[in-house]
Amino acid sequence: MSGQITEAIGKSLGRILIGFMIAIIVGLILGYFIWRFKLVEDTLGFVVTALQSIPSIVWFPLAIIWFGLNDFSILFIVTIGATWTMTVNATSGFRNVPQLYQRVAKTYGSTGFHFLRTVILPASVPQIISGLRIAWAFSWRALMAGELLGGGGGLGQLLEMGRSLGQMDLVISVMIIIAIIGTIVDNVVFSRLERNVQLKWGVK
Amino acid sequence: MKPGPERVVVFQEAGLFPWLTVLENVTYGLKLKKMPKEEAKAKALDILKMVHLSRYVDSYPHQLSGGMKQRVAIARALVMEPDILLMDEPFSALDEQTRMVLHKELLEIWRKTKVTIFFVTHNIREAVQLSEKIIVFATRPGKIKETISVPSMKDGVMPDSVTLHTEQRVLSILQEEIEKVLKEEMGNDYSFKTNHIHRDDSGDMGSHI
Repeated sequence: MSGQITEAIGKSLGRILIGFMIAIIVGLILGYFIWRFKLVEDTLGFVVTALQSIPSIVWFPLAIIWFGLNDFSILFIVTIGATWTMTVNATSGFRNVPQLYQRVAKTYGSTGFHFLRTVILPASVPQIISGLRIAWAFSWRALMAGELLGGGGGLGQLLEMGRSLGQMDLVISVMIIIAIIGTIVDNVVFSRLERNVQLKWGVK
Repeated sequence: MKPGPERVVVFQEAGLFPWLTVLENVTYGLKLKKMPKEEAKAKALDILKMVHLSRYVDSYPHQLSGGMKQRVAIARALVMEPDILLMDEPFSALDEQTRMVLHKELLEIWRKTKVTIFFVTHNIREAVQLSEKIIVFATRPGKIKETISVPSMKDGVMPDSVTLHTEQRVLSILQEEIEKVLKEEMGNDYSFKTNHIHRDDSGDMGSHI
């Protein structure tokens, strides 16, 4: 049994990292289009709000049909769990960039991609980080649910194994590990990041 | 005429980018002009020295006071070497003491750089203290009502007899406008009584008796 938990942790964290990365990128891009184009806002923007209210595990049956009962399905629901929240937060982050910064940048002749890169993106960092935090919580839940049902290793799988072997000590310890990882990421990574950024950006 | 790199605006709030250091804020426009990094940095440091912020080059805006932020904003505009510097009530959000210091510094900068400054303000004293020429605007429609030259060039801090006199003149020109706005807002029976005490040039009340 030795090394099993470490391996499972590694596997779970690997999955969530990949899924989370994809979700951030997709969320930022979708957020950009929703912010930039009124038509996209009226159409896709509305759909995203609707999709956001679907718990990501609900996508699992579809994912199994599309990709089969494998790693890819789990990755899919992890990603989709975080994408919509990320999109919504990115959109509102872009939308709430103070007019003053935009006017200043335009005065100095910033346009197009430069404007996006040097003003819109950095100015919306506080809200994007809040988005990351929520998105991470969502995908962490999705990951556990996915692994529990889907298998293929990871903490969720270990939990399921503990159940079938009647090893409650394993079940409880995995639960504790899940809680510890969740707390560490939230408190050490996101909470600190959020506080620093809010202080620096003068939001608080 | 739109603002652009040759006609830079300093706004009421400094509008510094909080994610950039003071130096990076000042070089923002230069980098957009594709100026080489070293050259931009050297220029920015020069200007920051002029506004007495050399010690805060690597600070972030949230570490600065309101007056310092506004000085960075002025440096950021000056470094572009604009033909004309547009200032839209740049000091109105500052406290009186800070404003006085900045008046003095602005005049120093103006003497050093010889840049034309177009300064919008609601503060008559500020206008008189800083300008060579004052253009008084009427209320809607915003037409030029009168242009006044200010004869003496001052230190920007202490009012003297000439500036006090000019202040009175501007105020008397504006009185009509104030009346117009008040009548619009409060009805025709309201009248803005001219019961404030006019000071004599000597500054002593009743000296003419």
